[in-house]
Amino acid sequence: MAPKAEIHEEQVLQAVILAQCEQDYGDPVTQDVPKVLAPLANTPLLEYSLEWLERCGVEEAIVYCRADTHLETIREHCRVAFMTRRGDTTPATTHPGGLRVNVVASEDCHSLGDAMRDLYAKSLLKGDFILLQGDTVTTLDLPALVTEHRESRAADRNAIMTCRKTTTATLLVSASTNKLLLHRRRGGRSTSSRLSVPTELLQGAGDILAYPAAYDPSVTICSEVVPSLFSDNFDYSTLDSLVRGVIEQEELLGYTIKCRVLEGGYAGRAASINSLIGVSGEVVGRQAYPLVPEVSQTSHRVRYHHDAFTHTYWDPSAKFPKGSMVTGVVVGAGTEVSPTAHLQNTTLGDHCTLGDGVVVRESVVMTGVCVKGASKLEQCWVGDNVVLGEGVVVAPGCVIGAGVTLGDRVVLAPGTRLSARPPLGDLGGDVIEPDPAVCGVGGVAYVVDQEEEEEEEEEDEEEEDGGGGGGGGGEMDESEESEEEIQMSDDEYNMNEFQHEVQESLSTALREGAAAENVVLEINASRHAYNVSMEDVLTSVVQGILKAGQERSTASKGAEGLWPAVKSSITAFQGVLRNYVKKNRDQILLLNAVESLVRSCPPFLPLAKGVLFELNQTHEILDDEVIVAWYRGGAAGATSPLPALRTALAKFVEWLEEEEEESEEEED
Amino acid sequence: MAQLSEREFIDKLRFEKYDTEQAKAEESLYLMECIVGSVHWKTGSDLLNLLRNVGTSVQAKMPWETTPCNMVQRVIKIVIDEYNTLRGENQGVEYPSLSQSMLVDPACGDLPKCTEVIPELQDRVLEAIAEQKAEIEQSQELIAAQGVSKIHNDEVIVMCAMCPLVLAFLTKAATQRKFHVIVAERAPKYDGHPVAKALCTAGIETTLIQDSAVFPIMSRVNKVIVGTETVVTNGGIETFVGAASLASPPKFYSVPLYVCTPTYKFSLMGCEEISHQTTTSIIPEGTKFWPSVNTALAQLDYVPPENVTSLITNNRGIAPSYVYRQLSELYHPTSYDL
Repeated sequence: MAPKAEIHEEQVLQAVILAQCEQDYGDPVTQDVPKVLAPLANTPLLEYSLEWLERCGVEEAIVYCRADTHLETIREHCRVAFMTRRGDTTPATTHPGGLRVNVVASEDCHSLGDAMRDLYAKSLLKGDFILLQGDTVTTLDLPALVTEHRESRAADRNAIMTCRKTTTATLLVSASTNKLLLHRRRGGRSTSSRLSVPTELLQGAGDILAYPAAYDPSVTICSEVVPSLFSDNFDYSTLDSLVRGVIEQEELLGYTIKCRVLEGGYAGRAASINSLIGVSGEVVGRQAYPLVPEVSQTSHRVRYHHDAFTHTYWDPSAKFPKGSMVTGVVVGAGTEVSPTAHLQNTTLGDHCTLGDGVVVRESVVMTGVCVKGASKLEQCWVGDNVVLGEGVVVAPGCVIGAGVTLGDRVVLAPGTRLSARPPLGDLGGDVIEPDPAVCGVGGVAYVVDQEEEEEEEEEDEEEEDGGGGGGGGGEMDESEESEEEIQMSDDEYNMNEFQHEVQESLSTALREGAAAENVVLEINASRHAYNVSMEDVLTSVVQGILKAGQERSTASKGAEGLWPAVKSSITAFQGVLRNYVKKNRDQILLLNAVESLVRSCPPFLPLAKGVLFELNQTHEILDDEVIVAWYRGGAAGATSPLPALRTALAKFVEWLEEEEEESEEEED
Repeated sequence: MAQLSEREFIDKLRFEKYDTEQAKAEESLYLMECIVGSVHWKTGSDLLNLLRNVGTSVQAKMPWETTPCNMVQRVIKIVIDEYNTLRGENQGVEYPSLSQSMLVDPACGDLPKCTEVIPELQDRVLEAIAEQKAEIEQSQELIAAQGVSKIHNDEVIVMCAMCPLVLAFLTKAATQRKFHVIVAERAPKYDGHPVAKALCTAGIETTLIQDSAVFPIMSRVNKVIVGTETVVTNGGIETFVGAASLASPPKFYSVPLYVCTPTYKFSLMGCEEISHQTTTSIIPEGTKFWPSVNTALAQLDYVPPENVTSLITNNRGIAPSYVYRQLSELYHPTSYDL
């Protein structure tokens, strides 16, 4: 194969599937199953991507995942799936022409950018490649896209990327060249109802096509420049940041991005549980033909019988009523459904039992689930081997993890997440008894902490409308109200991530004693990546410094060592702080940051005085007047401190005032 | 030409790389040529098993693809026949009598034992496959040549759907006859439109009508001609969707319905056994339906044998009630169940 491969090296078509790089579906589901292997119509999600890539003549697929507990599962799945696929056990290399699957894992991969940088470092990508998310189900005409991409590259070496975009973003595309001029993801800083278009874009360009709300299936054809760009700009974490960067710095880099809004084909992303259910409905409705449920995507055998008019698929061994009560259903092997059950747009795994009068709507039910009579399930996810008692009502948005047992007549509130494992982190070591109020008599279930999941849920919501949807061009049906909400959560999410990152870099720097310039550089990089304002940066930095000190103290001495540690932290980072605090206003911000930290974290209350003293007297970052003004609540933009802090600082401020007067007197 | 493996063939079939049934038939014959020409078998039984494996795997993965299975069954018949002939020649035994071959129980599903090693078998089978290939290549021509004898001057003919075979049949007839063709447009695919255009360019007087107008015009029509995907055992046909409603008015008005089909489309499947692939391509791109709206688009339709007057094959025209006889000539009884 070797000599032949060298000649055709340009033509080897690769695809990168990002598995497990971004957020998971809430805890209970992905505890046992990695996200990309979550079943969609009883077939793991990953299979759809692999199948379609093979169909498109892609020769090598790189499945990129984070090295965590699920890595082995994914690796094993890819190996086993491909053996069945080939129907033999010989290695794939003996069959040139087929799709090779290569699982690549990395320790710290939190974003697409990390994955790209890692792949670039490992130099696994040899030419143009297709980039897609592991949770995508698509039947886009990839070969045509790739050809188009190669043509545009042949015409213009600087065209680096062809996105198949119909994004949850606003686009402006030049009609004549398909060049992407403007890309604004929804939920950016601008208010969503208005779009400001730089006038220079309108000069010179003939026709500009505007897509107000295009839908993004996250399928991109990239050239080999893309990973190197990610590598050069370590603050690019998502494709969006790359797109923004390339467009903004067009004069500098000289790269352009082509954009193609396709008419045909289907694409859906199952980024959240809700969109998974949505995509599942569309697959069951045969919109993703030829990726249809009755054909196993691994062995390609016809596994289910199929009724084209009710969109019902069933294994020959399944017993269920084939009447008008059952539509849009996939029923796995050995499953028994009572004749009086009512099923709609639901996937049932293997060996499930559904009792009399059970109603299941728009849900995913996995293997070995037993639902007793008169239960009602709606828009929920039910994991392996769950047992639901008589008359259980599961409200929309619930996730029931594997092995949960619920007693009779339990009613779950919307959005409840249940797991069969007791919550972690309780140091008592006692086995916590399941709460009968949650899971009924004889039940085993624990509510997964909502607060922990909140962030993720918001994420899910954000992705939601990106996930569903057909293959068509622009869709404009999102209401503005929801846009606003999404924008909020997006910002909040960015902020949290940013704070986390700042905290991390400060802690590391403190441990390793890094130079101030390097720390500032690192923080600035994070700032660009998350698009955070200068004020937020300062707040995060101040809090980060104090917390870094706290972390250190708990690591070494315990609670008593808090102050010295914080003090040393401040001393270490005074250079960093100086870099951010330039005006009086910044000082006020700094003080406010301290205040909000004290509010959220009471152990800092006794330290506040010391912190201010250090900053004021030792390092002279804070001016006396500013502290006093802030304390009195008089300065512009300042809010007066909260009462507890007020009392803590009273003496210090008094002393400051006195000193000030003294110095004034001296000057006189 | 490069060797074709079973896996490659199935992949190509699965990825819809073949445009026509004829291409599928030719390629599956080529695959079997490769198998016969390979060194993986010694006795006739080995070869039969190899061939049967191809058939079963196609059937398990794509039960709607009947042509490759037909070709497998055809080659199995060829192998058994050649084996018996050769054995007869070698040992001076008579060719197995008719009664003997009738006694084979088709339900037992076992291929006959061909355990002897006969070196000539390979060449003989390859020769027969080559003949079969030639027959497939010529089939369209042979069918088209019958056009003149089936169509007369001033006749009105109804046709539907893009079928190159029917098109060739009509254009060939048009060289000597003058007649009028009415084409049903066949929504939502509208492949009646290119058909009408092709007929016009061939110099045939053409009228395009909508599908639902077939019944009212049928009283004026002399013949209905359609193509097919598959001919099933009872003489009925599995063909494009809409054919069943196109085929019942001719029955009512006693208008003959002709089906143009090469012999490789004769299948051992019953009409109810063939499952279909369906899409929802009825939905215009980009439309979003309320999830409760169910859409379905069948691809194939079944026309029962009582609505078919005659099947025009590359050998001769045969009546649907005679299909069973054709099948017993084409395939060996033991291979009825793959």
